[in-house]
This record gives sequence, C-alpha cells and structure tokens, in this order.
Amino acid sequence: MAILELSGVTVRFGGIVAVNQLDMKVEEGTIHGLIGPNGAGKSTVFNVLSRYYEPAEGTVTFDGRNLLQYQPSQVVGLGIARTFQNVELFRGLTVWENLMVGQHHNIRYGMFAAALGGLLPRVRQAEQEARDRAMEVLEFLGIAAHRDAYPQFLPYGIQKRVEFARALVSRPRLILLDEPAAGMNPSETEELAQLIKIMRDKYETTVLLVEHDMSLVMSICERITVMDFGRKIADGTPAEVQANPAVIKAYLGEEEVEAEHA
Amino acid sequence: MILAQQIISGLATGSLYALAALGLVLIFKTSDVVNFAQGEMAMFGTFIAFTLMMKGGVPYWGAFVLALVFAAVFGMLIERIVIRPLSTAPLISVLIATLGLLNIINGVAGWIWGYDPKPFPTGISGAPIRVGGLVFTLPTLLNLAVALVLMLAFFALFKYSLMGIAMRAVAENRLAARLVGVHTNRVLAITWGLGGILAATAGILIAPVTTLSINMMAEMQVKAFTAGVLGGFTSLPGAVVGGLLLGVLENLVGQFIPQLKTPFAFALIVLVLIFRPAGLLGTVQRKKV
Repeated sequence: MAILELSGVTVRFGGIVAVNQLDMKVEEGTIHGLIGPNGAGKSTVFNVLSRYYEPAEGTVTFDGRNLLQYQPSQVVGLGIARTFQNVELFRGLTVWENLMVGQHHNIRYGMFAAALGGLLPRVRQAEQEARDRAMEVLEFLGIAAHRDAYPQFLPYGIQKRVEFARALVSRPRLILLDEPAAGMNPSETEELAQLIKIMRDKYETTVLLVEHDMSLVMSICERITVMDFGRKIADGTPAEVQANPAVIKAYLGEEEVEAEHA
Repeated sequence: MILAQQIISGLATGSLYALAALGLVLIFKTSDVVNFAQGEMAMFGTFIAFTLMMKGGVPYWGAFVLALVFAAVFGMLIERIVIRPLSTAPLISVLIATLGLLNIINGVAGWIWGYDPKPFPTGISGAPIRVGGLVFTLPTLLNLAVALVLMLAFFALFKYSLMGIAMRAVAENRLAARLVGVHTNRVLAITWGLGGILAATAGILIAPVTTLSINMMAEMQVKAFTAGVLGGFTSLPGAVVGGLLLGVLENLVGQFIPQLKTPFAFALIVLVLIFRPAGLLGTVQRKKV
C-alpha cells in the first residue's frame, strides 16, 4: 500500500516551473530513492512534503490524508520527519535538547501547565516518555556518549547521526533524508547504508531519500524515482532505472555539460 | 555602616529593576523582540489589581493572582493581534509596533483610570528587621525573594522543561523549529503570556514605591533596559544581577550627586554596549547566515 502519493504536483517560483506534474508513489516499508541531476527539483519535492512550499497544482496524500491541509508544524505530528541537506541542528542546544525539540509535537499542554512544569503528573509523565525515547534512540545510533555535547563541536558524521536521531524520536512513519551521504567518504557511506536499512527495520518506518551518491542509492533503495528539469523521467527498481535510456541521457548529458565547463 | 545600609537600599531598588527586566529578557530571548510596551503591560496589570481591591473588595493576594491571570491573557492577545501578523516584517517594524503599543496602552489606561497618582498597598507590612545596625524592610525582602524565585523558576523552565527547550529552539531558528514539529505560534503565545505575568508581578511590587499612575513605569523601564543590557539581555540570571548591580551603583552615585542618578543609568547602557556588548552573563549571539 502506498503511504505517500503525489499526483500532478506542480510548483512554480514566479515564471520558473521547479516541479512539473509530478506523480510519485512511495510504498509503505520501502526505501525509496529520489534522484536526478542538480536542479531537477528533488529538494523542492521535500519542501512540499514539509509543507514549506505550496504547490500550485496537484494533490499529496499521506496515510490516506490530504497533506496539503496541514500546517508545517503539524507535519511531524502526522508522522513525517526529515533531515536537512546542510545539517540543521540547534547550535544553542545540546544533543539531548535537540532530541527533546524533535518530540515537541507530542506535547499537548497549555501555558499554565508549561509554567508549572514538572509539578503536574501529566506533564511529568509526557516528559519522562520523551526522555526514555530519546535515550533509546541515542543508544541505537551509538551516540549516547555525546548526549550533553553541543552539536557544532562534534565531527560532521556524528552531527548527521544526531539529526537522524532527532527525526527518529518523533516516531515517524515516513522519514525524509535529504542527501545523507553528502560530505562522507566511501567507508562512511557504506556504514550509512547499513544504518538506514537497520533503522527502517527496527523502527518499521518508510524512507524517502534524495541522494547524489549512486552507489548508496543503488545498494539500498528498493524503488527509485528519477527527475530531470522538474519532471519525472523514470521510476522502477534500481536495475530498471539504470537500464532506462532517458535516465542515461539525463546523467550523461549533464556530464558532458560539466566536461565542457571544466 | 552607612555604606552597608546604602547597599541594602540599593538592593531594594535593584530588585524592582530586576523584576521589570525579567519580562523584557524573556520575550527578547524567545522572539528577538525588544518589547517597549513591557512597562505599560505592568502598569495596566497593576491597575487591574487596584480596581479589584478597591471596587471589587478582593483581598490583596486574590487581586494579585487575578491580575496575573488577566496579564497572561493580555500578553497572549498582544502576541496574537500585534506581533504575529508582523512575524515576517523586518524587526524594526516590530519595534515600532511595540512603541505604538506603549502609547496605546498608556492612553487607554489614562482614559479609564485618570491621571492622578494613587497610593498602592504592599503585600506585607510590619516592623523592619534589624540585623546588627542594618535595617531591612519587609517589602524589600519580599521583592528580593520574588525576583530570585522567579529567576530560578524561569531558569529551570528554560533549562529542563520541554516547553523551555522549545522556546530556545524557536529563538534560534524559527523555521527549523517549525519543520521539526514545534508549534511555533503556540510557543510564542506562551512566551508572551509568561511575559505578561512577569510584567504584572513587577508592576504590583513596584507600585507601592512609585505610587500607582499611568506613568509609574516610565523611569523604571529605562532602568529595566539598563539592567537587561548590563546582564546581557539574553540571560535571566543576568537580568537579576544587572538589576541589583544597577540599584546599588545608582544609589552610591545618588548619594553624592542625586541629580545624576538617571544620566548614570544611560551612561552605563552606552558604556556596556561599547566595552562589553555581551553583558556580564550574556553569550555572544552568532546568527547563522
């Protein structure tokens, strides 16, 4: 069953069409890759799913619900969490506190409860659950030792894991990874591939991933959607996509252009 | 001994500055807004308490609590009606809007309650406590205690509670906070509600000293800004330390040249901004660009 379905989604910025009539289905429990040359519109799609960009046309259905009627801050509560292309952790917050922010959508209490804080059992229980969940995820990702560190002082690879952790603590049914392998060397990328697979299995989630590193995409994705100039040009299994002439043309064409500029 | 007594009386005034500064710092810390209307929110809440006591016959502490409830709602309304629609406007527009609010609240209060100063009761009264040769009045001790307790409570809120952590996230990067699921509007509404509570608390404790009038906070607010700047403007303990320090320094200056008390506060703002922009306890703000 498709957990996420985009149909005829078009995003325009002024006169530029960034995403053009995109249809895409992500099946529940899969690792789904969204690839394409630079400027193909992949990140725009993520920003539509985060409700940061408003599509001009089309529908987005998540888990049977019309995603487009929700506010950006409600998206996490629906079960969609994301990481960012350039790690977006809060610098003034420790690793642990960053994970607490990731669970804020779960907290439903008003001002007086907030002001009284730990004095109310209801609030205390909610906060205790948040802490338990955060600890479990930190241990799963092997970064529990860094819980009280400020993220900006940690190695880049660890920062990426912290961002994963912040997404995971929100109990997502769909997790959006925006270029998770950017800036990683081949052995780190291999480790990341394993991590994504284990994460999907352990937390029974669905993964949608934008990535330039083809070795990562081809090794872990079960389905792949390929975009070029805002349009979908192919989708299918890694083998099908790799054999697709339109895909080969899009990628080789880009390489030729790059070669000319070099 | 005279010096010690001067310091104590400086701490008494300083605790009032600290109380007024706490609300300013809370709102600035979370939303980057310097709320020029903070003092008028304090004044308005104090008039509500006064009306409840005089016209409604409500006892002091009952009126205090009801005024705080009013102030919380008032703060949230200001956020909803004035601040939120300006959330994408340049910061300078928001500053001008809070200046506008200052005048609106002041004018409306004058229209409702008139322009004559009125005496305002203290929460506790009784014989001053003497320790050695030093004299502590009960309201002074109450003000100091309230300032310290509020400082600690809000410090703990920011440090440990999920709401406080979310407030810090919103302060740092509102968009990123929204994208990871923080209901930023709700967080900001709560901040302004708490800011309103701090304002009214300050007003009610200050009014016995200044007497209650629509302009009771005019000078106090300058002092609160000084206290905030002195402490770093993003640090709640800084606001309290800044307030107490200002009270003491000012009192010592005032002993020699009483006319220079207020110029001294302004000079202090300028000097701190030049030589220690991060204040005593603040951290340097680096925004990601």
